[in-house]
Amino acid sequence: MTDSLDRLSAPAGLLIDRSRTVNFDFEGRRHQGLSGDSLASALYASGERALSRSFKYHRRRGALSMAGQDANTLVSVNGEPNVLADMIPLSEGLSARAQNTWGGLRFDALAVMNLLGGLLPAGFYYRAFYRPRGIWQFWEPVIRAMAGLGVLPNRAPHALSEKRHLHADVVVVGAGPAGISAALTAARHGASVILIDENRRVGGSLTYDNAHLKDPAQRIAELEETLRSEPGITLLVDSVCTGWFADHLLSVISAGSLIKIRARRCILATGSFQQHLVFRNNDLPGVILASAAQRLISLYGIRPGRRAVVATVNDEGLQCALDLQRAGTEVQVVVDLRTVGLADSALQEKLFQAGIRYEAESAINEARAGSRSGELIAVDIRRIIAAGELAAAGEIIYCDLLCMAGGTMPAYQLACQGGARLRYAEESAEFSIENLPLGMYLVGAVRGVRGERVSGEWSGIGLEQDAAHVASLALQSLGLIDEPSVAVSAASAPVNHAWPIFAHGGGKEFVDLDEDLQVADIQGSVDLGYRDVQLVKRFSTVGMGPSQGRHASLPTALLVARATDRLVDETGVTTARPPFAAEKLSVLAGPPRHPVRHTSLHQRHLNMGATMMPAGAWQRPAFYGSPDRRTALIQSEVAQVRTGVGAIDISTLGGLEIRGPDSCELLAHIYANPLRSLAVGRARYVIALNEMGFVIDDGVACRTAENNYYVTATTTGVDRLYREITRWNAQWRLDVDVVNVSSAFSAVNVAGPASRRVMAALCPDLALDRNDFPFMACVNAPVAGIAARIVRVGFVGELGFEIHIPSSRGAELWDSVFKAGRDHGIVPFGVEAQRLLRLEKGHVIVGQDTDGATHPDEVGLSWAAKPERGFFVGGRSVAMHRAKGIGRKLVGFRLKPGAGQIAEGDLVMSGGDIVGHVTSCGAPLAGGDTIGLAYTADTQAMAGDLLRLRALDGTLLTATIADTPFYDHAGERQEV
Amino acid sequence: MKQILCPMNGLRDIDEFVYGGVVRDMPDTAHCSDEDWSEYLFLMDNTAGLVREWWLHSPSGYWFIAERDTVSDVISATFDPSLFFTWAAAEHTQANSDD
Amino acid sequence: MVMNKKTGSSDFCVINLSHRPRFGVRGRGVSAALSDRRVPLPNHVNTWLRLSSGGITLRTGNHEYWWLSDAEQSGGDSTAWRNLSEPDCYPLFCRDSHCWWRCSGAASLDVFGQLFTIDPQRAGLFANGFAQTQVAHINAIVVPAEGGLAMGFDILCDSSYEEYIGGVLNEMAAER
Repeated sequence: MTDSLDRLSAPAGLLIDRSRTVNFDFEGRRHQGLSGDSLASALYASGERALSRSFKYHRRRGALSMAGQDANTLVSVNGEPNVLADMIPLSEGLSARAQNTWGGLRFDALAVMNLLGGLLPAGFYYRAFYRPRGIWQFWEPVIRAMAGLGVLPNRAPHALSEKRHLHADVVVVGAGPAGISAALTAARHGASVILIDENRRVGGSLTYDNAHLKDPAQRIAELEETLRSEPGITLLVDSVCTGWFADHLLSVISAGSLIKIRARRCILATGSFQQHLVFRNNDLPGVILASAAQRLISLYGIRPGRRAVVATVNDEGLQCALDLQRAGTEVQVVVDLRTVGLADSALQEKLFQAGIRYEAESAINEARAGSRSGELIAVDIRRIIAAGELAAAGEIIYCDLLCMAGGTMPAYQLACQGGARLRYAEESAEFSIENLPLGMYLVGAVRGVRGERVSGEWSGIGLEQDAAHVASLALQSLGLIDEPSVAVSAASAPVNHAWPIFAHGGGKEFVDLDEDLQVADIQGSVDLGYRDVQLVKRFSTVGMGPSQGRHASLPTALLVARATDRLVDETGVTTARPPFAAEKLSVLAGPPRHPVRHTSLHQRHLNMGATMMPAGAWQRPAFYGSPDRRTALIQSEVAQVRTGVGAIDISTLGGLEIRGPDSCELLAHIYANPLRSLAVGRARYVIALNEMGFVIDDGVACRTAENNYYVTATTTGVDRLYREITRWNAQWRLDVDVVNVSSAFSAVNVAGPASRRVMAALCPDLALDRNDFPFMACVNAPVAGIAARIVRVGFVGELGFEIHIPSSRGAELWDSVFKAGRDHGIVPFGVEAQRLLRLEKGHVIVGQDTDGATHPDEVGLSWAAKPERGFFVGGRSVAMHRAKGIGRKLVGFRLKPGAGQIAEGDLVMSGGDIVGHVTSCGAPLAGGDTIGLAYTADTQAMAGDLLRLRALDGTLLTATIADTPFYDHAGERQEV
Repeated sequence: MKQILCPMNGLRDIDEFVYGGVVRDMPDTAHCSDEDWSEYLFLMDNTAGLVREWWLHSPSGYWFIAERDTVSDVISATFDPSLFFTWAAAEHTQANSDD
Repeated sequence: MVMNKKTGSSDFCVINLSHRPRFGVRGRGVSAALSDRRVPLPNHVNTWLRLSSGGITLRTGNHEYWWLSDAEQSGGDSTAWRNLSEPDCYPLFCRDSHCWWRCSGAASLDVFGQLFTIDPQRAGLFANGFAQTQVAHINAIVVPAEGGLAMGFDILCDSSYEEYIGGVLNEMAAER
């Protein structure tokens, strides 16, 4: 264990503050790190390289990328599972534990799984555990307990985070040298730019691959200063872009909350993922990517190891070796898979000068672990004799660090979410991205533009010019400039090897570290017949782990192509879908917001003790009083309306105000009923049909003036009806104005034999008796001094007056109604009582007693739909259905008390066949019959016939069909 | 998430809009055959290519017509219904003037 | 619903103006009728005009205009609006169909970015534009404050959502 303060001196350590130590603990042991460290870097500096146990085999794992690109670093921090240790900054008192272990990281009891590897090939659970029958019930909980990453704390505090929306002309994802160049170019030509980077500092590869910079810290600081002082640029660091959506909407997670960015153009400078090499035991702690070693040195000032071997397929490995040497690591050998002469000669010369051994055409056959530490102690290097084949014998080199530079894979995910495709070029063994969505551009390494080496030193000039050129194309398309800048040729040296995979008889050559998948697992999937890479993925789970194939996609594509005797270009990689990085559901959800609608009388209902119920988005009083006395309260309300007077808030009822010379014609087209004969001051029940001739809404149409109609509609249907009407009229273009006034008017129905006396007190100047104000008349008159429309309708079957007033005066009216009704014992009644009252009259509720295919004739409304009188929506269909014959009918039925319990939805049976169902039912009187409405075959629908009902639990009951209405058959009480 | 350029309100997220069906001519209900009417109700062209559709901008209650390519899902034009009906009426007049 | 009470902090506060006078009219005859009465009208849909006689006019449609008052009681001259009886002029019901919430404070732009998905710049909200859009899953009209969007904005939405929207806005104010 090295002293945590034993760091390399500046300029190494871009992120750390050597003067501030931070205390934390890992796996119950105390540690110290420096301010600016990530959890993983602080542990690495203390010699703790193993951070987790792998998913299936429980092998020790350490950071591979030191940049959050692999899942080996997932730990639980302060109780929160699945935190990337190489991304989370160290904080005082931080407490972390490894995941996926039984008994801790060091002595994981499940390490035995590694020995059972042969029994657990990919997909083993599909082919085992089904014999003897029932054995899966035993094994499933065992496997579930053993598999999985992290434990969700049941008592985690609820987190709420707001979402934000940002807008820009250009969004640039990635603040490496290419992204910075593109962003500056765009901003300097007048575009508003948002530049995003997932790291804490900008610079991308400049923050770790920076041997060519004299003072990297200063350079990074300069870049940040330039970006922050550029007025057109908004810089977001520590922000991950997790998804690209249509028309350049990006989801970005920043400081624990979601930002949705809408841009007109999108430039991806997302870079590339350095790949690992596939050989036996390539997953041991101590085996890391070359860029990870460079990050340890440059970002954290940590010497990555004492004795190192570098394995590489390109010049990046040679540069890494030189960086290691400069940081005090003894580089034993650079193992280069390439044939002799392909390495950059200047770099090779530097290696030679530094005394570092270089072996071309060689690779790693195996990495070896120390028996006690379980970490890297040696590698076995051998000559390559053919693609994927090594010589029979090699050389053992002792080392505690192996750095792999296995090639690159562009960070294609966001582009491919947008529909771009990956193409593979055999000559360079590289994937490139094509078919970008309109308005998306690529710059930098994701485009295959990587800069060049001049005398062995990396130069980004060509890369920056190329990025500026691409930005200028975006600017031109936005109309901000006339001509784009000149295109530069930015060809880069090849970086990939055609076959960096070395299968081993002993296995454990990991293709996918997250899912513990070896070469044989991929090959085995193909052997079983899963020849498409999409099937290989789903069968073997390759690429389905937290790193989502960042390192697994390329070797999988190579292996599947070879195994199925196809080109890699034909095989491809699996579909990229959001999110690119993990997202917490609380961040996506934002604060819970569920729209709720209240009438102007809402508070009055609460004050009167109402039990509220939802009706669509509205809240309505179900009944008044406590829920434990529900049935009795409802029956009492029903009784009061039948014998005295009650008032109900019907403000939620939809309302349409229709005015203009063509009002009557519009209504005649929309509603099935003929309306031309409706006189001023009269109201009529109307139904609306859809084009198929089925009932979709009903209401009462009042003609308040020559060219002025006020039509009510159902609470939940009015908005859709209003849309239909306005769409029809966008075609018909009748001279009419239609307003949805559902919220503009509140309404109260005062109903019951005593209602006229209450109205008399409210409207002393209005003639209210039967001749002056008959049934189905409407009048404009003040009620309690408030301008109102009064309509006499019969929904509940008693004498009643609907009072419609502007909703701003609603509460005032309600108070006046109750004051005027006090002497008559007025009570409020709710939706439940109203439903029973109307049920007694056999009135149909659209949406309750009608379904998506209810023809007017089925529900006794044939009188309302007469296509022969003229065109209305659905008329033709009504006629056609009528000619064919209607098969079912809605009938009323009675059930004696004590005969059983029925509910809405109970089935109507004929022999063993279902012929209908119960749509409404209830018992209005305590100890009285249950009444209801049900659909049944129209051949068995005569009053007196029996109706066989089947309840949910299978009980059979028999009810008797009865003529409706059940109450006041002649309708005298409502027309008095 | 897709955006639509509403002729009245400008560029907006698609969830401010409600789809209203393909723009179609209704057969003359008084004189068409049962077959024609059934076809109008139940059979759609399912065009792979440009279609004209009704769209409603819900916050403003404004109906308009969009031309959309069903293959690429690109909305190439949006316009006020009055423009469409004027054109169609003109085409209709043009066609009928030849006889 | 308590009126006239400002809730929140100096960074963001919310007040309910639903009781203030306002009118709407729609129809092909409206612009001629109002011009006859010397009421200046915005030239384009989704733009506003402040009246020297008090109040602000919104053009909410090709032939639809609203007038919102400046102050509690009258805040301007609404007579012209109230007495339109010409053909093709249909009064609307916005005093009752809509509620009105005023938001203000130094954090107004930030809160705007949390509540609304539209780009205020492109919607003209830094100039003489206003927008018909959605907020917290419901339809709404958003109008920039007299001093500019950075100082605040007004929201008008269906009156049945008055408590719901008030709750959302007060939650945002409480967070600051």
